[in-house]
Formats: sequence, C-alpha cells, structure tokens
Amino acid sequence: MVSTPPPSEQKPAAVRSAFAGWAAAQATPRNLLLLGALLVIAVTWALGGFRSSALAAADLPRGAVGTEASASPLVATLEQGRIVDSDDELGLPDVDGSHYVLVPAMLTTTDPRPMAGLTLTRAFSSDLAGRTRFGAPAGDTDYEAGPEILQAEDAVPVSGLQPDLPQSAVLVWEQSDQAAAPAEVAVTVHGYTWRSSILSDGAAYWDRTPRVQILVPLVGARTGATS
Amino acid sequence: MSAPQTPPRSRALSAVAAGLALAALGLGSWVNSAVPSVRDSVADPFVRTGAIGQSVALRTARVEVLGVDGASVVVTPSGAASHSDSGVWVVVTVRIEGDREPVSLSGVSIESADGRVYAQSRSDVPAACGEAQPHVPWVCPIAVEMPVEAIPGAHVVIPVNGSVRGDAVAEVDLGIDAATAQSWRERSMPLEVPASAPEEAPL
Repeated sequence: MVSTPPPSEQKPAAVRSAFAGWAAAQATPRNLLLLGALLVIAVTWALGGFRSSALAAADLPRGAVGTEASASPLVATLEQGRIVDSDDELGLPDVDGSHYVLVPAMLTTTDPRPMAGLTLTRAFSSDLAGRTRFGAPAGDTDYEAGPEILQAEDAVPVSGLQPDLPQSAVLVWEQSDQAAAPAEVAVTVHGYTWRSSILSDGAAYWDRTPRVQILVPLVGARTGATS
Repeated sequence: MSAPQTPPRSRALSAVAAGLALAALGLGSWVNSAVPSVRDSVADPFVRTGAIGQSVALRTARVEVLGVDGASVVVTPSGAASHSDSGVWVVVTVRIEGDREPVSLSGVSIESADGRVYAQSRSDVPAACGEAQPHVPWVCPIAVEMPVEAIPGAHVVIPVNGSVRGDAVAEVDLGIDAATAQSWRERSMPLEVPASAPEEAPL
C-alpha cells in the first residue's frame, strides 16, 4: 500500500523539484564560468585583496629607537634626536625664525645596487608641523618631502647609499619657530620596489610605501612662538 | 515550451575548447615571462672586456684603465678629506678619447664578484669627467666607496656619456685581491684624488 504525503508536504516538494529543474537548465558552461569568476572576485574582496597595500600611519608597525627598522631595501637605525638653533659641525647656520630637528641614523641598503640620494631622502617623512626649507614650504602640512641627509662624519650631503655599506648620517628637518618643537617626532620610513615601468626606460625604485614608524624622542622641546 | 537542449557532444567540445583556451593563455603567459622582451633585448649593453693598461674601443670613444688604488680616506680636488666609515675608496684612473664627437664619463660603476653594483655616493668626490673633445684625451680619476669584502674580483663598468642601455660599455677587471683591499683599508695616509684634466695638462 502506497501512502501519499499529506497536502502540507506536497507543495514544498513541488517547489524543490521546479527549482532543481531550473538550476539544471542554468548550469551551462558559460554560466558556470561566470559564477566562478564572481566567486573569485567575492573571495578576493572578502580577503582584502582590493584594499590599498599602503597602511595608514596608525596601522604601521612601530620601530624603536636604537634598533634596526627594515623598509626594504632600506635598513635604518634611528637614535634620540635633538632640537637646535644651529650646529657648527653640521654647517647649519642660525636662521631667524626657524630651528633644526636633528635625528642621527645609521643607514644601509640591502639591495645589490646603489640607492640614489633623492630616493633615500624620500624614504623618510615626519609629522613635524611647520617644516620650512628642507621639508616643505611653511604652512604646507601636506607636503611630504624628506629631510636633508648629511654625513655624520663631515656634514657632506649623502648623495647615495652603497650596497651593504652602512652610512652614519644625520636626518635634518628645518622647522619654523612658529610651530611647537615637540618632545618626540614620528618618523616614517618608506620602502621601494625595484622594477621597470612602462613610463620610463630601464628599472628604478618605484612604489614608495610606508613600512615602519619610529617615535624618536627629542631633547630641547619648546613651545611655538606666538606671532 | 522548453528551451532547446544542447547536445552532449557539443557540450563536451565547448568544454575542451575552453580548456584549450585556458591552457593557451597559461602557456603564453609563461613564455612571455620566460623569454626576454624586445624592449629588454634592445636595452642590453654591448660589453667589451679589457684589462688594466689595455685600450677598449667603444662606439664613440676609446677608454683605458690606467691604474687603480685605494684608501679609507681620500683628499678631493677641493682639498677636503673624505672618510669612509667602514669601507674603502677605490680610485680608478681612466683615460678617455673621443672619436668623432665630444664624450664624457658618467655613470661609471664598480661591480663586485657577486654582482653588487657600486657607484657615486658623495657629491664632493669625483666620479665623472669630461667633456673631452674628439682626439683630445682626458685622464679621469673615478672614486667609488665599497665594503672591503666586495673589492676582490671586482671589475669597473665604463659607459660613454652615461648610457649603458643599448650602447657599448667597457668592463675591465681591476685585478685586486683580498690582501690588497685590506691594506687599503688600513692605509694611514690619505689618498689624493686629482681633478680630471686633458692628458697633456699636468695632474
């Protein structure tokens, strides 16, 4: 004796059967490929694949003063800095209306090729306000130019780093007296990728990317002058 | 009315075609990455090798490495001393003579035995020279800072007018061994680097 399902179960079964039929009809190779592509895009998005690779300053790994910070190909060890009005050994004159923020650093490139001075300079940025000659025009806080980098030994500007040859240097920012010279400065070290570009001949350092941020304590903090 | 059904044979052919297309794309991508591009090939330099004291003919000039020396401190043409913190200044003296047009030396580098490249790193130490008029040879000291351990087996790469892309360059073995490199590091007297000048002029 065959029992028939009650009427309340007959309707869902019919719906399931109709859906299965519709799904089977849609399972053409073209639709399956489209579905696969959509899945790949969705999974890539879910895993963060479409987010910018550059981290916000707040998300950057923190380095410490006196320890090596790696921002490939650059390795930098920053030391406690100081704020001065002038420095005879570094050839920094006393300029009305501004002072200097000096951060000693040991710099090395681990790439098998030299790093040019301009590339090296752009590997450093800071959160100092009121940067003037070396860093930015006064008041332009968005400007991201790096510091002047001088040889610690004889104050000659560093015009490049040689592979695996540590260079003792001093990072110099000039800051307006109008801005407060803080007790610490956040220095961000940027890395690069050596690659060719469709826009230029040959390979070069591209893709400047913030890699690590170091809070450098400064001796000689002062409040900003009121104008 | 139901939609026309795709015959199983046709479906199989479509799948095979799609598979072949994907395989072709993969193969093309692999070949593209494995074979140098035309752009890379065009950019490759034409290397002419030589030895110290031997003239090497390039496209527009002849160059000759006259000698090589080194020290941890050099005195630049301005009279200032330049120290190498942890390395050695390698000073290569190059003679250049243009054939048909003015030529200069720039972009000179020294390549270590393991392929690391060293070039000018300080603006106050000479690493370029010229412009030399045709058949007026110049003698140019080129100073490059290197780690001691990178010096043995190194060779100098000399382009003319700074271009190594698609042009002739000279590669000259400097013939330096580890003991010589170490002796340069320990040298107490600074090495004087003269200014570049035409060969006839006193250096």
